[in-house]
Amino acid sequence: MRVRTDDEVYRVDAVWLGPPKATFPWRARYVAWGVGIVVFLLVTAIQRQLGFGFDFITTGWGFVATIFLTRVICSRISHERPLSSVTAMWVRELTAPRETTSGRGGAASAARIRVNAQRPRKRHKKAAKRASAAGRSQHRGQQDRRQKEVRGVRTPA
Amino acid sequence: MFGRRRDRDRRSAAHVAQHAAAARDDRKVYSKRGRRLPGEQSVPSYTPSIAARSIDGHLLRTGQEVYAWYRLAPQRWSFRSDSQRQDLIAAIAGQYAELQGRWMHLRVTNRPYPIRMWAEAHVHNAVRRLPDTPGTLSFDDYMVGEQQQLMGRSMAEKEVYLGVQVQTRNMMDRAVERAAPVLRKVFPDAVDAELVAIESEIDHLDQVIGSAGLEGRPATAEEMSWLMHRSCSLGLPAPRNLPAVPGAPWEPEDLASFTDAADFHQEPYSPTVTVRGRTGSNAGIKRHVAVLTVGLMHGLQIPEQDDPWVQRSDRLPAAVEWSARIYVRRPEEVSGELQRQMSKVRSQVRHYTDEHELDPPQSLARQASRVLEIDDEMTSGFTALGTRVRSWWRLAVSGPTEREALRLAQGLLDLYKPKVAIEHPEAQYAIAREFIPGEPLSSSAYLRRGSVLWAASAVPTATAEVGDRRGILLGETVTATRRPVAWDPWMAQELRDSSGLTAMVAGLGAGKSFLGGGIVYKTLRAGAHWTLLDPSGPLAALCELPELKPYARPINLLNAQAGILNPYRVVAEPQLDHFVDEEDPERAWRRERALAAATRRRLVLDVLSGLLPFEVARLPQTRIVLLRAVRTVGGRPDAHPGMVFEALRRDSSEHHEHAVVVADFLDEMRERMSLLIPEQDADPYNEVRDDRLTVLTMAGLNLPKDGVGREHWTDAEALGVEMLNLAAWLTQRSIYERPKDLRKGVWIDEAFFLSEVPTGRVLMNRFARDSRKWNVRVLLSSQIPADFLKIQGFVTLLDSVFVGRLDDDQAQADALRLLKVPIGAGYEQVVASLGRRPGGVRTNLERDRAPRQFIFGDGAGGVERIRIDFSGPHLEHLRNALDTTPDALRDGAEPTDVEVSSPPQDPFAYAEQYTDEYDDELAADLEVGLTDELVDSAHGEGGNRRTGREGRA
Repeated sequence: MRVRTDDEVYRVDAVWLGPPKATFPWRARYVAWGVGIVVFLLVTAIQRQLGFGFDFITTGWGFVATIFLTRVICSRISHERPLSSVTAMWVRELTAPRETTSGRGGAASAARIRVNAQRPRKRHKKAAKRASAAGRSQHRGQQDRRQKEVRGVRTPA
Repeated sequence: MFGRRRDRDRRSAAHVAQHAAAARDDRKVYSKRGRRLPGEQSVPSYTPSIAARSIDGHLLRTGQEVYAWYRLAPQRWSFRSDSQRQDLIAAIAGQYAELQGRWMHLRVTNRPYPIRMWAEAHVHNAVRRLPDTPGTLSFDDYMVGEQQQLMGRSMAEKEVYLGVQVQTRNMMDRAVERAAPVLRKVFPDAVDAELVAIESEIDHLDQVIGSAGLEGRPATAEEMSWLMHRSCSLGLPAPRNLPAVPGAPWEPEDLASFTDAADFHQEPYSPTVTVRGRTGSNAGIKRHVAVLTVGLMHGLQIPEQDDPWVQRSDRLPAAVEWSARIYVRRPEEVSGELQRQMSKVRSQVRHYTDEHELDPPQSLARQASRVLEIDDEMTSGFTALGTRVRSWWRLAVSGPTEREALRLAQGLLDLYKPKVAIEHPEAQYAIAREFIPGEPLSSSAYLRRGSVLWAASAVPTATAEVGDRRGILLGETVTATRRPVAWDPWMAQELRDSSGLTAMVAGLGAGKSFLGGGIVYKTLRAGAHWTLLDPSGPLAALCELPELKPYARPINLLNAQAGILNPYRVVAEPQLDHFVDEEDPERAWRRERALAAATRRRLVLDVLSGLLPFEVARLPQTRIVLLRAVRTVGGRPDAHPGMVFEALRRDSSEHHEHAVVVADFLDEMRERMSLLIPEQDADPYNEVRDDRLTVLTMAGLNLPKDGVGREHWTDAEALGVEMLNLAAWLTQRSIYERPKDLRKGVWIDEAFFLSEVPTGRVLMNRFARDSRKWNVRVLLSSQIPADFLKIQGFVTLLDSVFVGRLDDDQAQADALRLLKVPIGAGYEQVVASLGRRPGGVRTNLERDRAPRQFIFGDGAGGVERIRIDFSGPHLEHLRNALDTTPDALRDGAEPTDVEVSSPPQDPFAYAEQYTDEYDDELAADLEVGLTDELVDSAHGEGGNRRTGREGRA
């Protein structure tokens, strides 16, 4: 049993040879004409933007550039890879995820967590007075250190 | 992860999923009040990075559609006739055609050969296995060696899944799904309404996919999990342990377990996509995956010349993943498109000819005729085989480095050359995602259009399946697919209720002894008992293997005690306790005894007439007098042929003179028949030994050459054949000495004589009948398949077959007949080419040590070409023992003395009085064909009419 695909039917090379009785010396597919027109408009627009005038020489070079670009584009597309798919694949190439070399997260650090050896307790008035008289300066120093910890700077033990 | 994560949250998706799952559980517990716990924070929502949203049973839902997934059954392909293959393709095409207007997603993935499962099953199955002998290869070491052998080959089993679009989902369905957590409390029916509504459609699909052809069954939860894992971790090694499969449906958050297992990334326009494993056994493992696609395709001749085109990729020595998107088109849609194409062609032709007066290209004419052809295919006939499909076929191969992946990709390209073009497109990442169930098609490039028949001729399910999953390892298949072949010789009797007969046919040096010896060795280790009849004797070397030696006994029958081949004793006497499970044990036992007696008489008759010169034996009166004498002696087990000689001399009928002549002839040969006639008071048959392996050899026996007719045999050759026949009966006797359920094996080498002697068929029938009841595997090997075919009804009795290389055309055809494989379909060449060395090495001085190949028919429908492989360091001593090729340079090439059995001398006591019932006797006579003999003889047509005497014309 001979099995084959129907692909041949869909591979009709639709070419435009030129106006009747005036055959062009080249054969280009309709799609190439379409691409060519768009490319020509773009090339002309770019020329205008760059400040070239609309004269014979510039337009001639525009034509040359158009033919070159159209040939490049048409060599990338075929019945297998229509223009739309090639464009879609190009977009997909651009949006594909890349390898992430910089790590996110990393080792967990508890440096930002304040740690006190003692929990604050209710103080008796007498004891509080004695404590404040005895070590006011030391207490202040401790407070300073705590503030540094908050900023994540390691303090000497 | 897959680059499309919507919640670019700081936390990892797994973390989120975990929270979500935990929160859901909490909600379930406290849902009575329907309120949040005090202090509970709101859980961030999670959206899977793949299109799939939930999996319920075999239904996979994405945002837009519902797919039903099926696991397709493997289909046998090799050694089937072309018409059978065409039928298969047509059946699949018919099933595709019924799915008009639907998308299908075909996925071919693989699962590593379950080595651990095999080992488990094999050890579990090895009941009463051989005790280990100290200092030799223990069973555990043997099993380790076998598993290492398997592991070294990294073989994978193909699994084919098919997803069929059930319906597209509308906005309402999606809204309901989104609101499910709330809705489930208020109006639970609404949540399930979507799936309930499509129930009948799913039933219809189940039925379409389940019918012959695809034979798909709804994928189980475990299979869905496997498929999702393999697709989301495309190209990575198979995970060693999968997370437990939940009993409940998979919710979106659960899908994170698939998507987090690996992530994909690629550089712009790089030829491969990189897949990096993140969890489980694949954590930190990186693979480069090259994704290819099927390009233009020439016409293929399937099944005549070409393999099914998807199956072809199995030839690559690496696993190939396939993903195909197929849309089955409606006819009206296609016909409109065809018309457009036709008008395009016409306008082009007009443009060339009318407007420019140029000759149009030939391709336009061809395209026009093809359009008409397709149109005709679609409109003619009542079958829907002209239905058209649009499809995209992608393949993926992976390797640890980019270079390796590209090398495999190049291998695939070469494999499909020149008829199918395999393309390597850009956008590797996007195309790799297509392999994940539920993902949309990434690019419309490389669209393949064709009929359903074309799509069906891909036959991805075609595989090489032979053997089972618990038996001994024989080797691997060598057709398109490479799979290990395991075979349990007792599975047929224990599970399938079929006979235990196996034919092994191969020419000289094709590896019969090697294969048989390997089977015997491996099954012995697994607990079987074997009796081997090896006339030439090399298999006695098996008894010398250190681990078998304590349990093995080689017996050279030619040196054995007189009377060991007494035809009255080689037929076992039935024991009453073997019939206790019958309806009427007493009666069954008596019937069986009558049958045994008749068999003995028949055997004696055959043996004696076989020993007579051919001219004497063919005379009708010879048979008459012999038959009468045999009848007079009866069928007692304690009789012997000497009694028949006396009975002949006492013959008082009208043939008295002839009887005396016959008796004289036989008496003359008496001394050469010493093995048949026991000495007075010396019977070798009451020794009971529990040997696991008994090898009966008959080294030095004179046997006729192949193709020499019976009439040209010398006396010695005739005696040789008869003794071989008796020895075969002796092996058969060994069956009945052991318990019924015990796994027993009998291997008769040089079994050609079965067709030469009339009792051969009786023996075959007994083997076929009792092999199932008594759990026996009977291996019969011969060099000429015609020997077996001559025995009437042999092929129907046969369970499994091994066919090795045969050079003769007729022998090849006969071998295929044994295999029940179509003849004349080109398989003869396969038989001829089994294990043949390539032409250039023919003059090589080295010995051909390449593994021998066989075609193995396992009796359960599988027929495959296999390579026998008993390699591995743990089996080296076995290979050396089985090396039957002569080698003058080999060390110690001296003849080894074969042990001679020395049975005790005390006489065999046959206690019970022999009684005979007339009916049973007659029935028994009829069964072994004794009465036919009498009638034939009485009409003077002689014994030479029987097929057994016709020689090998």
